[in-house]
Amino acid sequence: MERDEVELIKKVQGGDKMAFQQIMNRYGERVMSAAFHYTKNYQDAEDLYQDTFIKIYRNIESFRFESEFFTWVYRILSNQAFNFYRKRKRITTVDPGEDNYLWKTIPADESDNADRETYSSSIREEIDSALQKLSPQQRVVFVLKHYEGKKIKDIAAILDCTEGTIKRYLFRATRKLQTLLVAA
Amino acid sequence: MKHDKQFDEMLMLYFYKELSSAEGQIFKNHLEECSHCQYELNKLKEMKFAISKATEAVPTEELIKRANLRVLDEIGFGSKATVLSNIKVKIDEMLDSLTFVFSRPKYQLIAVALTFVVGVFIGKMWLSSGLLNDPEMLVNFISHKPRMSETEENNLKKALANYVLHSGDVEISDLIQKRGVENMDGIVSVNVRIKKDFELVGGLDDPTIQNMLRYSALHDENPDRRLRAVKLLSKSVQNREIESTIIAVLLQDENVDVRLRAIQSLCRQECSEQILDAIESVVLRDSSVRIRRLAIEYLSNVNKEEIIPVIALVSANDKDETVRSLAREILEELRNKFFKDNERGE
Repeated sequence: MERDEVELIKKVQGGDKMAFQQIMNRYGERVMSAAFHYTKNYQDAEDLYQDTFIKIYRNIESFRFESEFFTWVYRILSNQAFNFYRKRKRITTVDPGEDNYLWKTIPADESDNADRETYSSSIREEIDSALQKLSPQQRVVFVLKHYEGKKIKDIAAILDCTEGTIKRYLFRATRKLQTLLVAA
Repeated sequence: MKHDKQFDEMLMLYFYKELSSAEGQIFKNHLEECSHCQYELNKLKEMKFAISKATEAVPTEELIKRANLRVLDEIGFGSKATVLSNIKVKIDEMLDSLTFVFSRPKYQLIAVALTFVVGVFIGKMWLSSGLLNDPEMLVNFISHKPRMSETEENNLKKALANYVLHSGDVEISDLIQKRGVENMDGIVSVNVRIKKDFELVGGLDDPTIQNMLRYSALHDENPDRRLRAVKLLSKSVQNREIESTIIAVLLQDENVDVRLRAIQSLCRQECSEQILDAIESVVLRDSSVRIRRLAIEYLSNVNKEEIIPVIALVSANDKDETVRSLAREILEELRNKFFKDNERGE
């Protein structure tokens, strides 16, 4: 862990809210992106983001520098995501509401033409629909692996599970998505 | 080459770049020869390709700023959090932790079991407090319990009647000696009211019926029912409890007829110390001439010298001339009998 990060965390633990603002600025984009991968909905992603940072602030005293700070952040985010799934039961797919302009859509391909954009959007809908068919555990593990690029042992640390369990969730999620997406 | 299932997991780990270099090399060697793994790997790559083709949503700086402001607002940036909000936060955290723990599959069974145990405990507490404080609940339960035989219902009613007898919440509304059965005097129907009416039926040898009769004889407000209860008790097989009850009626009941029935009942029984003491007391104190006369007659048949002073007292002090006269006659007889016996003895 970097020294300035340690100091920043210690300041927050001492009650410095300005320092917490710096932590949010530092990790905000990654947390928001991950929140969107979990929820697949702009509004829900923002809610999940807020819940996560509020939880981080309230629990930061319990962080003992025994793991990477962002691993700990991910653990809180994932737990909040589980809560979110339990409350919502199902993912609501992307709803281009009034806050749409606050998100940038990155084209999947450099050849950024209208046809490609339409094609990519339709694939995204298929992916979102396929993700809905996974269990919350499978979904969280798949997002952490596939979108966040985490190693299995890191995911195990984030979710406080064994590597065997993570592999089981990941393999099942992959097989299911493979069937759904490749067949489609 | 024939596919070996041990490579299934390796295939996934290879796809996700989770194999060590040595493991990776082993799998690559296998892959070159295994058409099944090649096919599966291609499918995985197709999936990855499909996902990579999808557009990606990335949050803008403006969104992050807005979300951060909301978070800061929520955590009370710039203002001191109140005690109330701190409590709310703690409760939220506790609920979140609990819900998270119990949302895990392995804890869900524990949660269900725990809920069941707590439910049973609360239910048991509620039921037992209900039984103690609200006998009506039991009465309703027994009265409306489906699929219960008459005998079962009657037994339950008797158990209930015995259970609440000590509380004084019982009221006897009727005592009927049923006729037309084999044992003419044996079957008694007691209509009991424990906030709600119900009927108990049983023989005179039934302990519950005896208990209800004893209760009625002592506590019933209606003198007719007290009278009937004493009458039925006197027909029961005598035991110490029944004897004590009839003696208590004789000494305490305000109704002459009831007391009369009680003394008649006692007079028919074998003499005991308890009965003798009661009759001695009655002969000196009872307000009814008839009862005092019966008591004196009873005493005259008791072949004991110690009753002579009691009879002497009656013969001297009783308000009624007929009683005094009867007492004198009996006294004379007793004196002759015991004095002659004494003289012979000397």
